[in-house]
Amino acid sequence: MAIYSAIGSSITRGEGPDKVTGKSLYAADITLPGMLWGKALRSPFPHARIVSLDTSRARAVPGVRAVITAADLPDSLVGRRLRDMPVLARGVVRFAGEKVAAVAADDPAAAEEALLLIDVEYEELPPIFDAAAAMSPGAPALHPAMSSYEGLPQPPSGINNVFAHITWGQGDVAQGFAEADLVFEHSFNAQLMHQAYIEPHACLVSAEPSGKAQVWVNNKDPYALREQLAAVWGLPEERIVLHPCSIGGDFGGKGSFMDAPLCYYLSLHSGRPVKMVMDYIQELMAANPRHPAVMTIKSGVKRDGALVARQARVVFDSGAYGAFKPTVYLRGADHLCGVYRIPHARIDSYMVYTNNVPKGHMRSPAKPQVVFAVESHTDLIAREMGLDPYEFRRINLLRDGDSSPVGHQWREIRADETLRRAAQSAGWDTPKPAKPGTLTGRGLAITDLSQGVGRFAARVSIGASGRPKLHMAFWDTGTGSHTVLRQMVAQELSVPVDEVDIELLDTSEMPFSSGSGGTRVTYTAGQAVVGAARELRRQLIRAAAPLLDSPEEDVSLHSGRVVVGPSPQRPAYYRTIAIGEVAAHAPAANHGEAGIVAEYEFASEPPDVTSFCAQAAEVEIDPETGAITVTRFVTAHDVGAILNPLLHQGQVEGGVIQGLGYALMEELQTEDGHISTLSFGDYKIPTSADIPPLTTVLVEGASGPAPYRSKGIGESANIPVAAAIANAVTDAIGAPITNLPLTAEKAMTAIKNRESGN
Amino acid sequence: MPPFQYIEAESLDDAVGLLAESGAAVVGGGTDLLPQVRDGIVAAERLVGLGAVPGLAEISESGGGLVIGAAATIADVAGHSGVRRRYAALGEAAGGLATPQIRNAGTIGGNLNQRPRCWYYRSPLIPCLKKGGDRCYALAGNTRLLCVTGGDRCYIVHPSDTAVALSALDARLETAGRGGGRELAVGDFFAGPGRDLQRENVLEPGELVVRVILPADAPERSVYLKVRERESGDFALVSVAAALSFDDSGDGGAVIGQARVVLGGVAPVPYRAVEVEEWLVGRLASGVDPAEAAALVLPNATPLPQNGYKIPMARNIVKRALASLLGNE
Ligand SMILES: Cc1cc2nc3c(=O)[nH]c(=O)nc-3n(C[C@H](O)[C@H](O)[C@H](O)COP(=O)(O)OP(=O)(O)OC[C@H]3O[C@@H](n4cnc5c(N)ncnc54)[C@H](O)[C@@H]3O)c2cc1C
Repeated sequence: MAIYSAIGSSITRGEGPDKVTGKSLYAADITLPGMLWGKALRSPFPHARIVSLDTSRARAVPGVRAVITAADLPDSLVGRRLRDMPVLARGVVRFAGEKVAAVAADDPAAAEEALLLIDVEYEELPPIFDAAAAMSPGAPALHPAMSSYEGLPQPPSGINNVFAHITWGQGDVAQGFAEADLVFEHSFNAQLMHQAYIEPHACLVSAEPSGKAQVWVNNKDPYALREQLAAVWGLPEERIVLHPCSIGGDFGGKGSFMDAPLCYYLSLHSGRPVKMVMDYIQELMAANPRHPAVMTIKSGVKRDGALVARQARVVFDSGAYGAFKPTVYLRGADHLCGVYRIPHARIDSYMVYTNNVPKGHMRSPAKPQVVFAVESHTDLIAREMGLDPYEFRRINLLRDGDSSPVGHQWREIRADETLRRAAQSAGWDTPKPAKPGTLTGRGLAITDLSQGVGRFAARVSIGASGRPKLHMAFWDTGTGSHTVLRQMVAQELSVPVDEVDIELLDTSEMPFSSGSGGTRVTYTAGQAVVGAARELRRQLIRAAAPLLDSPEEDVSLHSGRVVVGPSPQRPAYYRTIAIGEVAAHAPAANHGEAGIVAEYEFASEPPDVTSFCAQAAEVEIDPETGAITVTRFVTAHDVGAILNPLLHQGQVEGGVIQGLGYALMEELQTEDGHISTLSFGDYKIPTSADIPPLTTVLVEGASGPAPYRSKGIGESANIPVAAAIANAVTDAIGAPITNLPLTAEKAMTAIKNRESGN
Repeated sequence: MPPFQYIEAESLDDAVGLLAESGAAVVGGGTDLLPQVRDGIVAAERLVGLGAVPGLAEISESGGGLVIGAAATIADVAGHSGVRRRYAALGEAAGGLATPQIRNAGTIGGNLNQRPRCWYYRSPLIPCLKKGGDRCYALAGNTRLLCVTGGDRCYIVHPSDTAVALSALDARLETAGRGGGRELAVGDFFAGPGRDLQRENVLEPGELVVRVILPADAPERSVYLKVRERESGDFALVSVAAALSFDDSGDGGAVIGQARVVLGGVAPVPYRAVEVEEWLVGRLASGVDPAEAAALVLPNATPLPQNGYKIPMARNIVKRALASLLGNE
């Protein structure tokens, strides 16, 4: 047992002091000699043909060094997987905010001025904004060349504007409905949401005369981005170097290439490094927000409450392009049937082109949408059958040995225990608080989240200073992952966490690593880092054994020293040597310094366990104003070992708060493809005054796939929140609200409709 | 951000002189003005601050009432003991608006003169009528947050919470300008789009608000209630300031003397519910049914497609405000 127990301690963030004192460097902070500022001209129309584009007046602006349009670029498309997006619109614009031309100039003001002098003539084309309507045969086909795009998950299904139709399920749904006593069907809508990270997208690209491209960008997935850039720029990957920078919030939104492909062409055409920084109007108008969804679920139930069949359908509005999705479709849609035992289930998910802003990933992609639908549906069935929603869930929840509706077989299914602990903590079996003049309600919701997979390369070194150093090309998006990885090194090498340093390398210095996302980091990066640290430990012991005049098996690490203790053979023998001294004896390894280096690569497999999250909300509604107040919230998590309680709790609380915003207020309002909420005054995220008292229940004891049997926690807390609150609102009003967010105005309408018996 | 010059006026005359030049604008905390300059909605090359003009950042007693300098911060207004004691609606309106940061930086002059939040006005991409453009884009778009009465080609609601409270408290505003100054009732200060599409009040170019005067004889009991979508940093969906004074009925009861009921969030100006006020005056306080009074609110409202919810919401909070003032909850 190590003396320092780094794992399990509430270690504060290593980068925290630099962030709060302004020392951290973000992409927008980096400057290069001769650097220019890039700006893009965006389309004011959601769908139009570009009749003509004249940049001559813009070129004449003093200080302008390059003005480019699609005509200046190779005819090549970009995408995280599906390559369907031009770097600059070519002949046609498909959403309001699409980039049609770009300028690089000595200063931002000259670039802005030049943008105003670019003359574009558009001919408006009939737009389509409703995803369901876009699927009808008569709707305009927005991507006639769809079948030729690289990266489609399967050949197009032939449904108009649908570029991914993915299904999941098991059994035979028709047979299931034939066996059912009762059938229920409900439809739900989830809104367009922005990730609301503090730091807008920014990049700096230098296209060097040597043919290399140096890139600083606040993208969390540098190796994946390098592949995307190589493909669109037509450069070999080795010629593209992505440099580390701090990332000011992600929530899934920082995985897309955004302006980086364009910035390179500005640099190429001007012969100078170019920086582009989006402002918040552009962020809210044209970044990569969360998909709105229209969902319908039909369930067949036995009279005793057992589910026998479920047929579910979700239509996602992808917007003008599918380029911002790493898997083209959204895997999380496989949660649309819930965490129940349903022998006959089928999910159809459609990813549809429209003339709205292109969507990307946001924290647990698709799951908050579909879990809102399925968990609301679950309560509505229970209400209609006169069952307690908690009991109805317990009848159907997955248990050990069951297969999930989409065929997953997990060990250690702790759904029931997690739900029970949430209900217990919320006082589910006690009477609801009665407050005169208000409506009160309680609601439950549950989901699961299994950890994503990826690859990771880590290197750990130790030199004469004795301070271990973790080398990797992996940026912390603000979750604290670097701190947890340092804890792992500290644990394995038995040194205090604050003696472990991190050296961030650029992408040319390390093999491929997956970026942050998909609740994968602690698992995949963690296993690689632990692997490298253990290898280093073995090497240290091997190198120390002769210095200590002992066989390797008698040597161990304690408090930063290699130690040999008394053994039956040598009862009085005790010698130690500092690890730095061992390293100093080693031959030059790292940058020519004496030391020991170990490297480890890890590719994770889909884990055979999942993790459940059950939540309970209590709400109070003012029937005269419709104001909904969440008075109490419980979040229960099926967890393994907790590596850092402080950071773990940070993810739980942040997730709940983000879910609360989704449930109650956050919505990018669109009208005919234009976003109207273009500031944080209009796009409302919760403030500290909106946060209810929160109880976190950790259902410990599971064995996760991440190091020390832990599980990831980055996404689950934000998934069931909207469903739990919606169910509490339904309970309070006696009638459901089936479209998010749950505003005062919708509550007033629901109350009125219930009173008038509609 | 376009470059601009910031000058602190040393005296009122200095301010008036600086503001006489084109491209100049008066600035308080800049919390409303600067984002508009940044987004290109307002062009201003010179911002003139009032904080250094003697007396303008202060709140003082005068003739039994209070005088608030235009450069006094919203936080100072909210925290002032005289305001809290005598002009409760103003204290509540100021103390609950925006966020602590904005209340610390924002001024009462800026709050009364802030521009509408209508997002068609605020979007740099939309040439709406209020900015001299060709039409109101809201009418064909999202009308959820717009007015239910008083619209005329433009359908904004006035965003200021303090304006609603000051109107109920019968406050007066003192202005200064090239042609000298004037004093006018808050109710006469604000003006809807029927008068001028591009402005929300009667100030002439170069004219500024100097002081807010709270009269000694304002109704003694007042309250401010506000419905909003989040607890902080959010404008009113609907708000109400109600103020009542009571006379002795002669037989031990109290009769309503003055009554002021003013709504925010429903009209391009603070909206006086005169029908309710008239109904209340002269009634025995103990005999008033708040619901009956509230039913008179907004008799001629013409809601837009998505904002009909504001009418029951307004009636309900008027009822609640009266009940709390009358103690008949
Ligand atoms: C997120 C957010 C939420 C908000 N919520 C609310 C809310 O709930 N309720 C509410 O009432 N407000 C709210 N506000 C608005 C806020 O209160 C105003 O921005 C603030 O009061 C303006 O004061 P200021 O001194 O900063 O004004 P400035 O920005 O300095 O000026 C605003 C305008 O008034 C003019 N002006 C300033 N002083 C004078 C003067 N003495 N005479 C004539 N004109 C003058 C300026 O030229 C400018 O046009 C909110 C703002 C934000 C950003």
